[in-house]
Amino acid sequence: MTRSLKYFLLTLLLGAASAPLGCRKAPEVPGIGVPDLQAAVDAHRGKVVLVDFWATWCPYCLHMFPHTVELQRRWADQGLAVITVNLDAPEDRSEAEAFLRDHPGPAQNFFSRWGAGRRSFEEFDLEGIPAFRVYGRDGKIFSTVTGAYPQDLDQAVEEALRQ
Amino acid sequence: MKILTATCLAATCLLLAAAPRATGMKVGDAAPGWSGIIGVDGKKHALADYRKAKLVVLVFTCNHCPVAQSYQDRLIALQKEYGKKGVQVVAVNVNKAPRDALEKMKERAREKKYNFPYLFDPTQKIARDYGAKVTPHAFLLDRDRKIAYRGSIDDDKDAKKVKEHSLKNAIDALLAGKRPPKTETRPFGCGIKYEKGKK
Repeated sequence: MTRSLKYFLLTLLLGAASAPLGCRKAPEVPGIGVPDLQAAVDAHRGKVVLVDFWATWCPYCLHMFPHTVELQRRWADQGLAVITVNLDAPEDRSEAEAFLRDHPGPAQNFFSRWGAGRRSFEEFDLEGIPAFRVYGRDGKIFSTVTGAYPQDLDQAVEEALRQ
Repeated sequence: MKILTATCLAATCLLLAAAPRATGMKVGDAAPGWSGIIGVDGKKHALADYRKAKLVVLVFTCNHCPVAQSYQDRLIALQKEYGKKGVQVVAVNVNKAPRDALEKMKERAREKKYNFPYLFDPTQKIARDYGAKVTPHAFLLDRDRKIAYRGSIDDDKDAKKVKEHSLKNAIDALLAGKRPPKTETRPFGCGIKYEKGKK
C-alpha cells in the first residue's frame, strides 16, 4: 500500500471517529486508539504536534483547554498542529461536544475509544489528566507535560518548535 | 474493503498495554512514614497511629476531582467491609485549591459520613514521598508496612462498569497470606496539583 493511500484510509477511519463532533450521537462514535492517534500525528509530519488529553470531568483540563487553543493560534504559522483526545465516558460525550463548540479552534478532536476508564490511561500511557504530549517534527514523542502547568507546556512546545 | 479491513486489523494488533510507570515508591519498598498531619477531626495523625491495623490503605484523594468524588462511596464501603478484618483506610488530600481547603474537607467528611480519617497535608510532602500522581491514587501497606500494591482502586470511575476490583483483590490476597494477583495498576484521575518547583 502506498504511503498516500494508507494516510487516505486512516484519515477516513479517523474522520469517522471524530468529525463533525457536534453532529454525531455519542454512542455511534467509536473513538480512537493508540495507532489511530499515531496516524493522526504522522499526518502532520514536518510539524510539531501537541496532543491535549482532557475530559469534562477534569476541572483543570477545562481550565487548560483555552490555553491549548491559544497555543495553536500563537504558533500555527511556525508549524504547530493540535489534536485533542477526550476521555469522557460515551454517555458524557454530548457534554464534551458542547464544550468543544464553546471553545472552537482548528484542532482535530477525537474521543478515546476506552472512555473514562483505566484503560484509556494505560493505552495512552497517561499519569493523569490534563496531559499534553508534544511530538517533534519527526512524529516522535518529544515530551509530555502532566498537569495544569501552562508555563511548562509553553516551554515544551517552544523547544520542540526550535528543533 | 480488504485494504481497509487489513488496516483496521493492523491497527488493532498494534495496541499495546503500557506498563505502569515506575516512579516514586516501588512495590516492596518500606512505606514512608508520616506524622503531624492534620485531619478533619482537628487532630494530628501519624502512620504509627494505625499500628494495630493489619493493613493500611492510603488513598490520595481530594474534594474537587469528580473521579475522586466517584470513589467516595466505594472507600466508605471498603472501610465498612474490611475494617472488621483489620484494614484501615486513610485518605489524604494535598491539593490546595479553594474547594480542597481543610474547612471544605470537613464539610465533605461530615456530609458523606466518612468512616475513615481524612487528612490534609499542605506541604504535599507525603504525596511526593509516595510518588502520588492523581486523585485517587491508592497504596496498600502490608503488616510490615511495606508497599504491597499501588495504583487504582479499580478499573472504572463508574462503579457500575467495574470489571476488576484491583485494590480489593490485593487486600483479599494479603489477608489470606498470599501475594496480590496484581501489585501495580495504572492510577487514573485528576492530576495532583503540585506546587511549582516541588514536583
